[in-house]
Parts: sequence; C-alpha cells; structure tokens
Amino acid sequence: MGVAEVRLKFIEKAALSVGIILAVTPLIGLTLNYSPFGIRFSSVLASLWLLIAPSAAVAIIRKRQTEKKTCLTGRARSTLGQFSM
Amino acid sequence: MPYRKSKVYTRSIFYVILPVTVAVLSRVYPYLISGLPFSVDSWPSIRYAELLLGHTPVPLNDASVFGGSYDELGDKLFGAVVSALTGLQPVYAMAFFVPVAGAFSILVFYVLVDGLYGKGVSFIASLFLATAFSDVILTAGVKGETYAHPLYLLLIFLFLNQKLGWWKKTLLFTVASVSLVLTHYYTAILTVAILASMSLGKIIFRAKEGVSLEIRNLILPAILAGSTLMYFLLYANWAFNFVSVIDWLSAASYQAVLFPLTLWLALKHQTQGKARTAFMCSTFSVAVFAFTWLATRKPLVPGAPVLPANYILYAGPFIAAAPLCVLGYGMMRKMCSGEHVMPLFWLAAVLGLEGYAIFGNAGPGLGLTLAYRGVNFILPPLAILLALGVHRLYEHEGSRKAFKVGAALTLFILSTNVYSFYAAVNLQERYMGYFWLYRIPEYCAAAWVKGLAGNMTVAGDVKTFYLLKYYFDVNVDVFQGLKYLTGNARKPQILFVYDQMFKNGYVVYGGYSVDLPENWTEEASSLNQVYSNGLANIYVG
Repeated sequence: MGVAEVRLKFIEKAALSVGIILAVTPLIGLTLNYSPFGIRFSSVLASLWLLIAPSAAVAIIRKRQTEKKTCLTGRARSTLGQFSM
Repeated sequence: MPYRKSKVYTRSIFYVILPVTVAVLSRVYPYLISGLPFSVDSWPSIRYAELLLGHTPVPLNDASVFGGSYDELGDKLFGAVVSALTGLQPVYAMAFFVPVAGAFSILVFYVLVDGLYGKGVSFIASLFLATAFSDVILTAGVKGETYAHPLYLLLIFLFLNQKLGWWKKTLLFTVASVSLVLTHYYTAILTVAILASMSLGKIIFRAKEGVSLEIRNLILPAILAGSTLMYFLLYANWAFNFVSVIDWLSAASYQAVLFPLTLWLALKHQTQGKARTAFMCSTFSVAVFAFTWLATRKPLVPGAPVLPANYILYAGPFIAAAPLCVLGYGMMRKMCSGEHVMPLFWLAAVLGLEGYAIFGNAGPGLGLTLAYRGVNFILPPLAILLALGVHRLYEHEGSRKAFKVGAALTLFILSTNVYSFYAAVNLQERYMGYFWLYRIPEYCAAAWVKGLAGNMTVAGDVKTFYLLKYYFDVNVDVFQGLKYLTGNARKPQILFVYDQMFKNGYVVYGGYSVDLPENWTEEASSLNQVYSNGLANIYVG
C-alpha cells in the first residue's frame, strides 16, 4: 500500500493531524473515565505520551522504509534511463 | 530562482494562515469581549465537564451525578481532558478551546478544497467560510455542534482523499466516525446522507466513464451509519421516540427526490452562451431575494418569526452569492470529472434536509431548529461553488469588467458577513442570536439567585433558564415570567429580568424573543426588588 500512495503535502499532514487530534481527544477522555485512573492531569499526560510515542516511532520507521523504497525506485529509474539512451 | 520559490512558499502559507486566523479570532471574539462562554447551549456542557472532573471515574449516563442531560459527549470529554491538562477551570478552558477547535474546521476545509480545485479556489472558499455569519455564530459556542464541525469536514476530506491508502483511510475514518457520533448525532446522520449521496454519485460517474466502480467507497458511509446506529441502540435509544418512522421516511424522500435532480445537473450536456449564463445568474439572484423578502412578510417555517424588512441586508451574502454559484457550477462542469462535481451531491443532501425542515411534516420546534442549523451545513459546498465562480471571473472571463464585478461581490459578501456578526454580538440585533452573549453582571446575578432560590422556582426567559437550570441547577419556569409580565399570571416566587428585555423582549423557545407590553416594568415593580447590578434585576413575589 505504501508504494502506491502519493505523498501528502505538508498542509494536508497538518490538517489531518489536527483533525485526528480532535477526534482522538474525546476518545482518550472516554477511555480514561472508564479506567480506574479517571480524567486527571497525570493520567491524561501518561495516556497522551502512550499514544504519541509509539505512533511517532511507527511513523519514523515507516518513513525510513518509504525513503529506502523511493531511493531504490529512483536508482532503478535512472539506471533504466541510461539503458534507454 | 530560490527567491521565486520562497515567494511562492510564502504565498501558500499566507493562503492557509489568513482564513484560519480569521476563523479563530472571530470564533473566540464573543468570549474575549464578554469573559463568558458564548451560546446558551454552553452551560449544560460546562456543567457536565465540571461534574465529570469532580466524580471521575463515573458512568457517563449516571443520572444521580449528571441529572438528565448526558448525550453529545464529545465536547464535554474534550473540555474535561483540556481542563485537566491545562489546570484551567472547565468554564474558561472550554469557552476558549472549544471554539478554537471549531475554527480548525477551516484548515480541514482548506485542504479538502485544495485537493479538488487548487490553492486559489481553496483560499477564497476558506475565507468565505471563515467569515460566514451562520458558521461563525454556530461554531463560536461551547456545544457539540462546534466540536462536530471539524470532524464532519474531516470525514468528507478523508472520503474524497485519493492519496491515502485504503486501509489507512478506513482506520482514520473509523476513529473520526466514532468521535463524531459521540459528539453530535444530528451531524453524524447528515454526514451519512452526504457521504451516501457522494458515493452513489461517484459510482454512477465511474460507470459512465467505464472504469472500475470502486464499490468499496460505500463502506465508509456504512461505517459511519453503523457507528450512529450502535450509539442509538446502546446509549441513546430515547432518540427513537423523538423522531418517528414517518419523519425518517419523509426526510429520506426529500433525499430521494434531490439525488436524481443533482445527478442530472452533474451529467447533463453542457450548454454555452453568455446570454444564457447572465439570465441564469439574474434568475437565481432574484429567486433568493424573493425568498428573503417573503421571510419579511410571513413565517417560512412553522414557529418562525416574521423578520423586519432591514434583515434583507443580512441575507445580502446569499443574494450576492447566487450568481457566483451559477458561474461556479459552470466552472465545475467544465472540469469534466466525477471528483469535481462531488460538492453538488454534498449540497443536494443538505438541501434535502432543509427541504424537509421547511416543507416536510417536522413539528414547529424541530422544523425551525433543523432549518437554521441546516444553513450551517449548506455553507461549505456553497462556499466552494462561490469560490469557483469568483475564480472564473478572475481567471477565465478575461475582461477587466468581470474582474471588477467579482471583486465587488467578494468584498460585499465578506463585509456583510462581518457586519452581520458585529450586529449580532455587539449591536445585539433581535433575530440574530443576541441572547447567546452572556455578560458578567448576568452571571453574577444568577450566582446570587442560586443562594436565594433553594427549592423555589425562578421565573425567567430562555437565556436565564439555560444559565440557572443547566449551570446553577435552579428550577426555572420560562412561561410564568412571560405570563406575569403580560398580566396573565399570579406573582412568581422569584422574577429574573435584565436590560435587554427593554429592547428585544422576552426570549422563548425556538431561539427568538416576543414583545413585552409597554407597562411590563410596572408589573415587575409591584414585586419586591432584592437585587440589582445595573443590568440584571431580581424581584421576590
């Protein structure tokens, strides 16, 4: 799926991030309220950290993978281009 | 070259920053000038968030904690989380952050339109939406509708987005769907109708073009519909009694009528000719003007007031937008792609709901509520058509005269919208939602009444009712105050009146006020005045 996707522009990423933050925040509140911790400063901070840190790690790994693939595709294209000349 | 590139980049940033800044400032403005949350609907949400923070963890539908009001949880949960995180009291945290969240719908809208038509159209459409009076007023308050607005646009953006992979898109769509259903089920139902209309339109267009139908596009509205149904079945089954099967069928029939009409408009052979375009532009303008004029002569929706003649000015943006929308429609048709005509299906779904609200068998209260709330949902697709029309005048007509007309109409629409907002918030115009703005003395008077009232019932209008009943938990009788001041009832235990009643009358259900007799102050004076702060007076019977 990753290779076929077209890259999102910075502004699209920003809008998606804001939108998803707004979608996720009430769900965090909902989950925390039904947990023994409740909606408190420490529990909100911890849950946000638990959401953001793994997501960021996955994003970094996927970005590196995509860059590698793009790099390989680019190299293959330039090689093919040389052959066609 | 690097200089040129940075100039283009700066212009792109400006295109985004300006509408978003205007949106944030205009939506936070009522709070900044009053120091209190905007809209009568704010008080139940703030009270809920305060109770939630005080009792968490607690079942969200615990009537012993929250009383009877525990639906539309999104903004309340957001308020509780933001309040816990910032350390601000919910009343201040929500009064600021919920409208800011609502204003970010403009950012989502910008990228949505940018993906379809490019930066120029997106900039103009976003600016129109950021300043549109109805949108500003309805997303400046602390209410489910405000918080639902960016989620609603996010769902449409995800649906139309071609760049995201299918699974990624479906995952994000599901998360946003659950959040929207939790926040505002009315918006969720309307979004299902919009997405279903767009999906069917897309499939028919693809069939016409002879490419893969992509039936899987129907999965996204099905996810939202499933989430909404689950919410109703598991949490809010009282809603089934509120709206009958006949209402559902009636509303669906309006959709069924408008869909083929939209399809015909999207598919029909394009006819050229400046004379024909000019005729259509003027016809639509006259039609919108006639509709507005009619609203100043008789109530268009059951329960709606007859508006004063000067209110035609406030409908000015719609009258001026009509010819631009006709031009925008022509421009949209020229693009010859199924994706580009999707806003027509979006508009048709919302117009179907408006048709049901105005001409259907909705009761007086429901019809009026749906009608004025529906305007808010018409605005995004209308802003797109309008921006396309302006863009056509700027770029494609080629004449200096067309450019001047486009610029004049744009300026007129923007300035009238800004003035309408100023008239509602600062000039306190009677039928523009003036009573949504609370002032500190009114809040102080209500807090004072809380100490006095105990088990007694306060007679006060709807503005007072929302603050006292839903925030201070004091019993309020809306009609007793009106009956007493018009000389038709016995003395109330406590009477709450405020200065705006002199000018705008007594606010009743349905969002507008009725006139009080000239001698109403004499009726009030026959009671014992126990509190006054210059703006609000309290009397005891």
